[in-house]
Amino acid sequence: MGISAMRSLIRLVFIVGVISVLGGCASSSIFTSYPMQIQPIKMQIQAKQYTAAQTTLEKHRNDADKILYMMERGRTSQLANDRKSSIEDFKQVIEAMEANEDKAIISLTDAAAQGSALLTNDNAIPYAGEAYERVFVHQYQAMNYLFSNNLEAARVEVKRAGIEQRVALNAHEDELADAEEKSRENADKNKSFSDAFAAMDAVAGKVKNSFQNAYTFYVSGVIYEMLDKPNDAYIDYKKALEIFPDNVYVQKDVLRLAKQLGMRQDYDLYKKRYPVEVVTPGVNEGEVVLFFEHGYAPIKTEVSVPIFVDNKAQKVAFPIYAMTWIEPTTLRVSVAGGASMGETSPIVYVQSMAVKALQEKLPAMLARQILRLVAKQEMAKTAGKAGGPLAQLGANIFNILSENADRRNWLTLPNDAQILRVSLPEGEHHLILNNGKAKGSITVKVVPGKKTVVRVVATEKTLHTDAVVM
Amino acid sequence: MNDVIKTMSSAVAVGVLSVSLVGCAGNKVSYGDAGAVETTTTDFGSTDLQKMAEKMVDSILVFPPIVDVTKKRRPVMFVDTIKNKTSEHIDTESITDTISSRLLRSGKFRFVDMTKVASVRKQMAFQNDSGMVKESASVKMGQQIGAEYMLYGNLSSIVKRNSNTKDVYYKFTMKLMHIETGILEWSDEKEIRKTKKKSMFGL
Repeated sequence: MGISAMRSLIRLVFIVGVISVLGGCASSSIFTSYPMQIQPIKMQIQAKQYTAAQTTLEKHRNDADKILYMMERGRTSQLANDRKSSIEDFKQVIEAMEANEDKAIISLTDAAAQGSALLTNDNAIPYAGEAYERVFVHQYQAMNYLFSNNLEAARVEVKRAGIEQRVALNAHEDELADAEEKSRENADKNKSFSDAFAAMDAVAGKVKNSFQNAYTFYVSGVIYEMLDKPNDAYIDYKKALEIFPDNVYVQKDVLRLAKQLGMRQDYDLYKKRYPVEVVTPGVNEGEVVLFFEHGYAPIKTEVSVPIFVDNKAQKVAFPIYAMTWIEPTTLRVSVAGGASMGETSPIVYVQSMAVKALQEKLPAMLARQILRLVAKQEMAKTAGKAGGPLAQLGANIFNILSENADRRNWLTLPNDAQILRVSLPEGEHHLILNNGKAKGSITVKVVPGKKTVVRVVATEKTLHTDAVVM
Repeated sequence: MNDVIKTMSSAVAVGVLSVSLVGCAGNKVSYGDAGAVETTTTDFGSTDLQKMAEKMVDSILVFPPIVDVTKKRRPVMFVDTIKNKTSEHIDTESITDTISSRLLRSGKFRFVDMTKVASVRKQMAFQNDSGMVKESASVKMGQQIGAEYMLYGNLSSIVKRNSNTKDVYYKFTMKLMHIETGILEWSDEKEIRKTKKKSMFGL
């Protein structure tokens, strides 16, 4: 074989490789950033054009990133009160996540994805879902079942959400010391790297870890109460209180159940700590439990950070949450022609969980980027040797184009969630909702001895509402 | 020739590698011993449940006054809920189920099931009031036997941890009350301690 023939063969192999990376990789976020793809979906949700959004997301049902797209679709369907589709979408997410866990420890498809990620960027690795997102999937699925009057299925889902959080906590405890050591080590080597992300501390500092969710525990508690399992409800309310001690509604629920269950020691302790009044609904009253979800989860942007490899600085793209703390605006609720029911109180800051989740992943991301730098340099060198300066130029251009940060996360999640819980007299009530930016109303039925669950989601100026009596 | 051998050997290597990968593909599912000691985490697990139930049943059956009472007759008991004072969801009904099954199988006690009163009432109403069941073949109302004893208890835990040790202590207390007199006839407790230490070196 002549040298020129050999060259053209290598060139061919190289081109085939690039084409397969460009076209073959199923992940569609390699070259178009994920937030850009989801932006139109958000606009459609705000305009209540749910079907259009569902149709767009439907196209990604079998993508490598199906977990991500189906989370968005499940959420969209939920806002449309299309519970059947939402249940299906989240079911697919849960199945895909379980399949990921069942994968062999060394998996061929994983290795292939990691390989193409090495030549392009982290977007080539199929999205597996952050721990806080997995918890939300189970919680939202539980709410889907709750609003479809299927309490038993809702109980199963909140139990899974609980297990998800416990597993994450156990793993977290084990990793914590390890990770701290590693990140210190890395920070020493790459000071510019840790400096670039220092701004995220303010938002991340509001949570202890990225996955423990008081909102999930609270919903779980409400469902256990509906199932007439006050002891289990008490355990979840207590957990919610531990994570979010300032929420006055959770304080009241913990005190109320401590009294009801005869947990004397707890009752005395909480009574001293929280000066709230315990109110139990009257004979002709029912409870209204209102969940208010506000805004959208934060969006990652890209930051270029110089990384030192072989004492040579190279600019590398990293994802970052560049936003500052968004103070949650509350929802004021009043009965039409009647008194105010009060305002909601925050129970989860998704913005902080998302930022914390990214922080926890930074050390691993840095390690992968260093490998990628080396791999890309090697590729350009090989291309230059085999195909001449033109091929090297092509490879370099490819390297620059493909150097994109992984900006994927579940974007239709709310920025924060809040709760409100009051007793109302029996009958139909027209509730007036006001969030400052978004205003609306909903008519709910109140039945003595039962709970009316109301969900209000605010996206910009639009309110999406749903209610059920259980 | 050398090149050919090289190519061939690498082809063989690839073949062997892929065969070995395919060969071990597929996860394994197998049956285990339900009574085997389980120590995956410090959370409440199957072994704790079995130990607690076993201890309580053994204790109640050999307690002299109970042996006396159950010599000639089989008293009727009902199981109240177990108060879960821990910070995790524990299926306390499952503990009482195991205890009541074992007590029942000992042949010393009989039980009434308070969780099924609503269903029984519905069935009785159907038999007696619906007009569809032959009167001679329907069960009579007001013939049930009231429980003489009530079995109840508490489950509590203390969790302590520092950076490399987690210690969980469970205490399960059970009491047997004679309902008519309010006297506690028997009581016992079972303690379980689980400690998890992080290894200094690991994979």
